[in-house]
Amino acid sequence: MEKPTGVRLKKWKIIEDKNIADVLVVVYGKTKNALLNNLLEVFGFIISEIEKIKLRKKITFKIKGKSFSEQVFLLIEKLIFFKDTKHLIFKKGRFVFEKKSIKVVLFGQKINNLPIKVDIKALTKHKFKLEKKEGYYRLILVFDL
Amino acid sequence: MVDFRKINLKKIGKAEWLIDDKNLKRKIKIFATEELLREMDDEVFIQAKNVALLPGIFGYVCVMPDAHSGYGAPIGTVFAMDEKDGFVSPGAVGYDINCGMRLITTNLTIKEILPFLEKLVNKLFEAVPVGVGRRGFLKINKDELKHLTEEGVPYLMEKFGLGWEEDLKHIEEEGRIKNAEFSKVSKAAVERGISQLSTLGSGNHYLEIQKVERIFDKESAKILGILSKDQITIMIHCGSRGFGHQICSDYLHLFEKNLFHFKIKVADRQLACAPINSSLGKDYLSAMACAVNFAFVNRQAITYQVRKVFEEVLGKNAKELQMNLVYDVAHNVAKFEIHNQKKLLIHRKGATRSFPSQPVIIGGSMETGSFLLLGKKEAMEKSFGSTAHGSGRTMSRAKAKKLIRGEDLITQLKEKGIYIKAASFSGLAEEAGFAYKNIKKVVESVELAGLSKPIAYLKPVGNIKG
Repeated sequence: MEKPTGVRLKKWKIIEDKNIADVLVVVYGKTKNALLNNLLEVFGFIISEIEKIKLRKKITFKIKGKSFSEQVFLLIEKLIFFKDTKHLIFKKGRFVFEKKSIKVVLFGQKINNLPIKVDIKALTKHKFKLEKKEGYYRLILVFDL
Repeated sequence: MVDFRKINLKKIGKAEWLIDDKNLKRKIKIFATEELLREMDDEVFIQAKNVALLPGIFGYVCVMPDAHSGYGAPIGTVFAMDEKDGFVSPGAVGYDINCGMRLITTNLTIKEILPFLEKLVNKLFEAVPVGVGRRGFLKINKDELKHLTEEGVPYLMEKFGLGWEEDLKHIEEEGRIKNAEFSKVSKAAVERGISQLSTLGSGNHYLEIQKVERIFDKESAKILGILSKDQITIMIHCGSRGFGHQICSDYLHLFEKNLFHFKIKVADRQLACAPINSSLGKDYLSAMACAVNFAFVNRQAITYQVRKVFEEVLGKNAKELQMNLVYDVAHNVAKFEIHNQKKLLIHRKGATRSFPSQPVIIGGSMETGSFLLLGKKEAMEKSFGSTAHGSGRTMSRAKAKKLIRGEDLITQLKEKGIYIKAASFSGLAEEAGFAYKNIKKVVESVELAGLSKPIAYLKPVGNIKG
């Protein structure tokens, strides 16, 4: 697994030739907030053309979970749920971290008017790992496509 | 004995291999020619070993020739659990519960259909919602979803009139698996499913117009409605959409949380399991059954649209066009079956039931074509009555996209006589034929292993993709 190098931290990386039917992704972030915004970016990049996603819609909700890892997992599942039920995709987020929850505000738009690459249908538990490294967070995940 | 990637593999048949590792709870049987075995990615063997470490497995873990890495269990895995003291694993069924294949005949030939081909494909693309963010053409409420997922295709026919009575005999479980309980399905799954019923979806799902390229067994083919070379058939590949995915996700969380309670250790969180007879195990099976029925209903509703489009374009009644259902078979499911007088819960993930004389559909890429086969008695002894389900990927989606653009692929395929309509060029490039194993070699493997017998080879002439 490639490590981020130097001062500039990589935002995310899609690992090719692993989990060939699906997609293995590594997301980085110096802070929890950066990690989650980078996560939104790679989620949008996989499904559509991230630069085309506009910040037209806003949605607010709360994620409850015992650990940051569980909260992140549940947040990704919410992204999939909103995509399928409200047809929304997000590009940016504001996050307030509490002890056992995250207050989430997401900004994005309806998916119907965007070019679509592929669908993310589920987040798997296979290889899912969130680590706090020295000075940054690293999240490894496999999406079912 | 072959030392292959540091795994000791013993050849036990023409296309059968055995991994007998003392560190595993169960032996692993791989059904593949040596060529296909060598094409399998390393993760297949790691994941198959993780499955062989699960508690309660009865007999062997079987790996099919089209196997490729998935998550938890490889795509192309079959294993059995004892009904009384075995376990059930949602991850080993997969997210797309009852993803499956359906084949429909016509009495048309390629010559008759060619002048209408583009119109047919375009109309099918309009009539069957594909891709991301599309709502189904069947508008239903929650109560109707309850009935549809508990009562399956018979309810769809009775209430909505979508299908012919004789269709039921040609669907695995006659389009309705028992013990489905809507109360065991989450609100989130209902919300995801209600607008996605009667949609094809995306990824490797497709709706394809094909021509019969070759018949291997004329007598059997005739019984199945495949009468001559160049006859037109239609194939549908899709599953339970967000409904099944959500059910799998919901229960995986619950199963993982309860691993400690059941004193189970798994090598991969995705393989979290629970005793079949625990309330959690039973609840999952009841919810899973709803998703199985959802997928049967989905393919039946799509069939209705397909018949309607053919009627409109060709100006003939679908019955007159003999648009009969050959078979509809699941390839992601856990089902109770009797094997050697023992009731077992058979998990099939990316594997097709292959009971003696039962039609089997092995779907290939939009370039290389698909096969209709028949199940064989030997499969009952060797693989719990199971066989392969498709070609199996050999290349990542990202790599496939680097090698070809979707727009170029459409042009290339048109030159080969295959007319494609896709919701996403990028998604289309990921499904290029070179990203998959040679389907003929997959079929050769299942034939050599005695799991199923090829009846006809079907080549695509038109395809719609999400």
